[in-house]
Order: sequence, then structure tokens, then C-alpha cells
Amino acid sequence: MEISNEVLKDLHVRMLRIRLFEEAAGKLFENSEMPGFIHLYVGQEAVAAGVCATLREDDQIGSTHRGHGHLVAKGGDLSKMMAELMGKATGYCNGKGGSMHICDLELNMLGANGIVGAGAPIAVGAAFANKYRGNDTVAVVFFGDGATNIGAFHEAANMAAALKLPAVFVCENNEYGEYTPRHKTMAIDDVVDRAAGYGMPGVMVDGMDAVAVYEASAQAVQRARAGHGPSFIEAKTYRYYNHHGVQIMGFKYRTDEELEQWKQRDAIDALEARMQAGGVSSRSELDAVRAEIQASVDEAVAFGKDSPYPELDTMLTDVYTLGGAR
Amino acid sequence: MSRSGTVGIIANPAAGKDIRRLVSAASPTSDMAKIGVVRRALIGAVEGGAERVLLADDLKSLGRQAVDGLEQNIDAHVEIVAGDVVPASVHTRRMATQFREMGVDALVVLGGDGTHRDVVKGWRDAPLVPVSTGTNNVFPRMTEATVAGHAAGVVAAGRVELVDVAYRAQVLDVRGDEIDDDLALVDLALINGMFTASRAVWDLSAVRELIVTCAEPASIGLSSVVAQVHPVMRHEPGGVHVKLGPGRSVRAPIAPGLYADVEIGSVRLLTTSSEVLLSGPGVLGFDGERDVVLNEAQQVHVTLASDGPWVIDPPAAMQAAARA
Repeated sequence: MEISNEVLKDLHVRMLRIRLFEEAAGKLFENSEMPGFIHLYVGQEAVAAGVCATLREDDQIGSTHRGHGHLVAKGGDLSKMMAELMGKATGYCNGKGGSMHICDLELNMLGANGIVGAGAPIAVGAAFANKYRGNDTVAVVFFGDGATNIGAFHEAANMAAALKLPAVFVCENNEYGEYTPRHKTMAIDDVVDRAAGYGMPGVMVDGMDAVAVYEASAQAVQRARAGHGPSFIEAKTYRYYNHHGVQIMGFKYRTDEELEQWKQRDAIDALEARMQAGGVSSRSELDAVRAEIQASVDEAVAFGKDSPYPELDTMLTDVYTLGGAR
Repeated sequence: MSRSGTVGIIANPAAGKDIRRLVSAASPTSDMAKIGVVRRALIGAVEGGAERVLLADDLKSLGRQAVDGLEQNIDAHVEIVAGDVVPASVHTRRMATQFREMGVDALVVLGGDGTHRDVVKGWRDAPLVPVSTGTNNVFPRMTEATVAGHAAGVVAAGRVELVDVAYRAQVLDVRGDEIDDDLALVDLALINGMFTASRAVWDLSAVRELIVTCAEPASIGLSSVVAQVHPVMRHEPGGVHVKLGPGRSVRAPIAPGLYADVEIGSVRLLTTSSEVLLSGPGVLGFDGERDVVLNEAQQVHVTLASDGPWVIDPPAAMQAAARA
């Protein structure tokens, strides 16, 4: 399939927005300017960017505890995101959702989720609604390797395949479930091997290559939109920072060499190198894009810092609702 | 049976999982299926007469798992040979070189065209039984692994002569500035674009030129396009270079269950040592996989060579052994 220069620039911007946002969030967290936990997406940018670049605005995405990247890639407002992460009243969920419950229903981002595997049934529910309503909207769910060991994931995947729902399952296999290497929790190396068991096609792609992810996702989304049912994409990727936060924990669960090997294949560096070699963008053009995104991230940080915390009398507001789902 | 000789088994754990599961009707191949294939090849090799079997400890330890799951005694020395942790293609190449140095007499290679290409990059004139575990393969055929292992065993044990049961495959040598020396076993494609991305080639409208060592009408993949205008069987010398573009229209199976209409602008027949010059920008597809990006004005020289691997024919090897 032909990949236009516009698509390449789009992938670059989506990845860089995630990277710079996450780096800034990590600093705030380390400086104790951000409450709770954050699970940084740095290293995995090619997956969210590659998939979301193939989606329409009305397509839904389900997310994970490592969900900032998904929302940024879907077009999330960086200021509202940063404010939410800092627990401020101006944030996406008025400061009450935080990192792991951040969502934007306007963008059809159905929410990050603190429970491993729980995004799958939510997204499959959206896929069911799409089919029920007879529209051609597609629901994508991102999840990690560990989530595929969870019952909720199994039920969701089975249901999506049985009912031929317009869903795409995107497994971000970053080789660790929290601090446990994948091989200690499953007897197979490629999560995609499970797809056949549900009766859906599965494809394995290099999750450090945004164009490879884009190609696979474009095909899977097209299948779903055309009514051919769900597909499974396993993207092999890696998180540069800890399971949560930035610094290495007090114990060593992976080697520096392993981390370094993955960084050598950094998705943003690789795309920038190809864009320059192929005459798509010059170094100075790429730097200008970076500076522009950095400025919007700085603005988001300032917005978050300057914003107030929720008032005490709003403690129960937005927590309970009498209305139905949108 | 007295035993002698060494068989090496190399399996590619990544085969059978690429994007062709989405863009064509290709079936998936799980690792569990591959472990079974390795195990059957091991059993067959020993039954064929090998006294020693070396299994490459691939990145997923398929070989080790194949041995661990054995439920029968193996009357031979079985050794798992560890390699460096490097990308799969480099690992396969290094393993092939290491096996040659360790005195392997015959290889069983389990994978697709790409796996076999990596093996030949590490051991150019390897005597091997190619077994397809991938998708639309030309070089390896769909062969039961037990039989493939057995055939390698009878060759390794000296029960049959290699030259009687094998043919010498051709190779396309690819050389150019700024790229490592490379080769293709079946086909080399020059494709529009600047990314290797998901590697598989399924959009024929982006393919500009094709060079093939063989073009069998019963094959699936890029070489099948050439087979529609000038068939060349794998045992026959010579190759073909075609340029796609306005000209003769053909329809060919380029992936399992996926046919494409293509126009062929020109056809040039190649003999041994014939050379073709390909110019960038574009991507070089080796045996159906996008692998090397050529920048503007970057050129590569492609040469048809006849000194490739010895490809063992399992039915021929087993028939010769039975008659000996």
C-alpha cells in the first residue's frame, strides 16, 4: 500500500506528541508535582500512532493503565490531559480520574483503565453497539501481553469473533507484565498464536516501526469496517521506563543491555532518519516540528500547574450519575 | 542400523505470522505447530541414519522445546547449539555458518523463502532439505517434516550420494555501494516506496521490476507473475528479468488465495553471470520481503549465479536409500 508523505508526517507528529508529553509528565511525577501513579508510554509510541492514524474520529478506542499515549494519538488535548494527571479541576475528568481513568468521549476514547484486561469488554461493547446501530464505526482495543491471560479478555475476544463485531484487538507486547517477564506467565512467545483459537486472523508486526503498524492496522480496520469481523494485531514493543514512574525500582528485573538494544531501534529516531533520507522532511523541519510540540507541552504543564484543585463541595459531583450511557 | 553423519536443524520461529494473514487467505502457523515440525524432523533424521543431530537454539528455543517434549528415546547424540541473541535473520545466518564449521553433513531448514535466504547467506553451498512452515513459499515445499528429516539423515549417513538426490539452486547476488552483500534465492523486486514496514509484498502496483531464478506456474508469489510469460522450472538454468508496465496483461497468484492483474512491459532472459542494474529510489524485496531501502540514485548490481545450495529432494533421497 502507498504511504503518502502526509501520513509519514502525521505519524511523526503523533509519536512526538506522546514522547514529549510523557517525558514532561515523568518529570512532574518525579518532582512530586503529580499525585497517584503514572505508567509512561515512552518507547511504545509507534503502536498508538500507527493504529490511530488509520482511524476516523468516530471510531472508538479502548485503553489500558498505560493509556496516555492512546489518548494523545487519538487527538487528546494536552492541557486537559496534563491538568487531569495533576488532579486539577480543569482536567478531562475534572481532576477526579487521574492517569488511569482519563478519557475523552468526544474523541471516542473510551477511557484508560486501571484493571488489566478490562478495556477489552468495554471496546467490544462499543463494537456491538456499532453493529447494532448499523453504522460502519470500528472499535479498537489496546492491551498488553499480560491482559491476554485475563478472563475478561478471553470473553471479549470470543464474543467479538462469535458475533463478527467490527473490532480490532491490538496487543502491545512489551515483554513484561509489571515486573514479570512474559515467559513466566505464558508458555508461548507470540501472543498472536492465540488469535486462531478465537477464530480471527492474527498478524505479528514490529511495534517499533510506525509504518509497519500503520499498514497492519489499515488492513484490520478496513476488514472490520467492511463487516468481516475482528482481527488481532500483536505489536512487539518495549517500554523504556518502569512499569510505573520513571526510576528503576529497588530490584533489577531487566538488564541495561536489553533496554539499550530496544532504544537502538527507537521508532521516532528510525522514522526521522527515513524521512530525511527520503527527502520528506529536512532535519531543520523535523526540529521545528519538535519545538512546536514542545511548546504545546510546556503550555500544558503551565496550564496544569496554574489550574486549581477541585473544590471540596464538588467531591461527589461527576462521581454518580442518573443518566444512561451516551 | 549403523549410524554416521550429522544433521543440523534450523527453524525460523517468526514464519507464518505476517500481514498476509490479513491481506490474503494465508493460514497462521503457531509456535506449537513448529515445535512439532522440529520434533518430527529430529526423529526422521535419526531414523534416516544420522548419528548426531544439532538443533539451532533459535530465539524462542523451538529446538529445545522439541527435545524436551520427546516421549521416545532417541538413539543418537542430540545437541542444542546456542547462538548470540541477535535479530532472527542474523541468528539464522550465523547458525548456518556455525553448523558448517561443526561438520554438519545435511541441513533441514524449516521456514519460508526468507529463512532459506538467511541460511544460504551463512552457508552458500549448504546441502539442505527445505521445508515450508511459512506462507507462499517457492524455495521450500510443503513436505512432511518426518520425511524431510529422514531424507537429510540418509544423505548425512552416506547412504546415498548427494549429487544423485539433489539439484544445485541458483542465486541472485546483490551488490552495491552502502549495502551489505546480499542475495535472493527466488526473486528480487524493486518496489516503489521508502519503507520495509510490514515487509511482505502484496501490492503489485508498487512493483517496478522483478528478477527471478525460477518461475514455476504452480508457485505462489512474485515469481508466479513471471511464470505467466516465461516459465522456468527450478532445475533449469537461467533466470528472467521483467519490467512491469504497459504491455502484456497477466493474472497471477501472488499470495495464498490472492490473485492480481499485472502488466508486463518487457522480458529479458538471463544466463549464468548475467547482470542487471537496479536504481533507487525504492525498496528491494528479497524473496517476497521488503528488506533494503535504496535512496535516490543508489544502485545495485544483480548477478545470476549457479553455485547456490544443494537442494535435497526427499522422495528421491528416500527412494535411492530404499533401492540401495
